[in-house]
Amino acid sequence: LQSLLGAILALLQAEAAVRDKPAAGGNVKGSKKDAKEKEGGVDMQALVSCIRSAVSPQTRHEALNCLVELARSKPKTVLKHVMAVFAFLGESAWSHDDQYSFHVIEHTVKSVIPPLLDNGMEPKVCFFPPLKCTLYGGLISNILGH
Amino acid sequence: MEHKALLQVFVDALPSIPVHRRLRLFTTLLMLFEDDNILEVFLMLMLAKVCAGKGDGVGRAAATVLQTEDHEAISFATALLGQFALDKLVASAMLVLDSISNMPTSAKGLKSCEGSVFAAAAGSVEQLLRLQLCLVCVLNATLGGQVRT
Repeated sequence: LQSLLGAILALLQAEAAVRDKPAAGGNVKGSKKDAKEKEGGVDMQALVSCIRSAVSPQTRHEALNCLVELARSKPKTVLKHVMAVFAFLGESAWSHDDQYSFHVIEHTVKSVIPPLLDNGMEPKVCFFPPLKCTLYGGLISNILGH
Repeated sequence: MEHKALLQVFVDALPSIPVHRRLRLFTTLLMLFEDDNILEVFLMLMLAKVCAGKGDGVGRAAATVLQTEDHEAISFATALLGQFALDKLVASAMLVLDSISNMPTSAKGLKSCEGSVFAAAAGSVEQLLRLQLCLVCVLNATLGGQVRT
């Protein structure tokens, strides 16, 4: 499994390298279509369950590195699974508390969250739910102007 | 998806994270968010979780007696806030005080807290009192308890 994840990581890094190269000649339509076709390339569900259930820390680290690469290239795909991904922190992540494991977790947090923030996480937090606003909003027509 | 939901995952995982890793991990995490209210949201979520389910039916006076777990959470929150610049701390303190002043003081108002950042501690007025006390302790220790350079 570890070797397989290593291969997936290498492929994702190669894809990222190709993507980052400036297009020569500019077949933009073709490249967009290619990117769309590759969207389903990595099964996020499988990757997440691998992160959460891996017994070997090395396997988990490889899976996390794949996740970091995916967050860079396909943040919207990762966004859908972000809760499940970070739930691993409370489950299995700390079974091996060593410097390298911590480094991988910290690197994952640093790499995964910024692309997610740039791609659609809603920053506004409502301290009181809309119920109050709706209540007062509904009453406004009945309240005297002054 | 809100920042609150993401932070809640980390707050829920907090007891599982080794004590000596918490400060660095959460500092790294919170510094990634650029929102002005992120410290306030985190404080509310973390302390509400600590205060959840405690002090029900013991009366107002007993509910405001803090326990070891509360003191640990306050110490961690204070250490975490100490990692941030003073201007951000002051802005967050203002937001926290504003939220405290808007919290309901009677059982009638508890329903309006559903879905709020401190919903975990909105089970009873006693829990909210305990949360308010914890928040004030954190602010006091952060802004008044040390000389900042």
